[in-house]
Amino acid sequence: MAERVEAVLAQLGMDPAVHGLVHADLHLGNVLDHHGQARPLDFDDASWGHYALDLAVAVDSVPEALHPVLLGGYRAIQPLPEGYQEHAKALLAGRRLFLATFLLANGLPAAAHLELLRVFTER
Amino acid sequence: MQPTTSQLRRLARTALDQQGVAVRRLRWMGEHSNHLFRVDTTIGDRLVVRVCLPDGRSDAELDAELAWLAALASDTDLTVPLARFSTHVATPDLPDGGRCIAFGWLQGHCEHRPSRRLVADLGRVLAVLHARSPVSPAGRLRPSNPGYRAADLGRQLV
Repeated sequence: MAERVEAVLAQLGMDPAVHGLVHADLHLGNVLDHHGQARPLDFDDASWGHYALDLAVAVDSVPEALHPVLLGGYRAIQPLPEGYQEHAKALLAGRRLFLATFLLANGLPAAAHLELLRVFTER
Repeated sequence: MQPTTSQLRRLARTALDQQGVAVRRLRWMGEHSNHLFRVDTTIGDRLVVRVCLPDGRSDAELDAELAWLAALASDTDLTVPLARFSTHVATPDLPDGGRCIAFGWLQGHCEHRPSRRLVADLGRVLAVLHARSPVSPAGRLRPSNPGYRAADLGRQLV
């Protein structure tokens, strides 16, 4: 899977249309809800990366039934990042791989983390 | 060896004292990729202090992050954390010290059962971030992203 994600990102290339400064960790847990307004937090992972993968991070953090809602919010500002729709499955799987391996690399102390890992590997 | 919460708290307190912030209460908010403290001041203000240790991101990377946040706040309608101060401090038990960044507190709550409105706005926020992204990697943030890290971590597990 790691190779698959790498291949997708390599295929997307580094053109400014697909690659730039990204938050890199804008999942639901890094967002404050202020009367329905999303307030992004935790910019400390900000880095140069692919917009499509950055979008996958956010999409993967919300219930599947709400994926179209999130994508609709994105489209209200601009078209989806190039390559997102074509490679959404691989990008989402890559995100889950990252989360699962992050938990493994940082130890498995908490039952909550084990549950997360189970969920991520199950989907 | 990782510093203890008490040592980090003293570091944060030193930074706040240095900046003349009168603290009513200083609370540990947990460790994510950084160490966070919530600060309630004697004049009713509230801050978040992030303690960045020398083995973490470089000063150049942190400066770039703060510059991006400032640009987003001034150029977009997004509400993002803004730095009140950033300073290097050290204490006797952490002589190498660290960089303490105080952010203004943002109102809101974490929602694990999000509304459609929140999720749609999350999509909008991300699109604005991308639309306002600098187009050339001429800055000083690291050239990495979760995908590459996933690949690296995946290889470690094989």
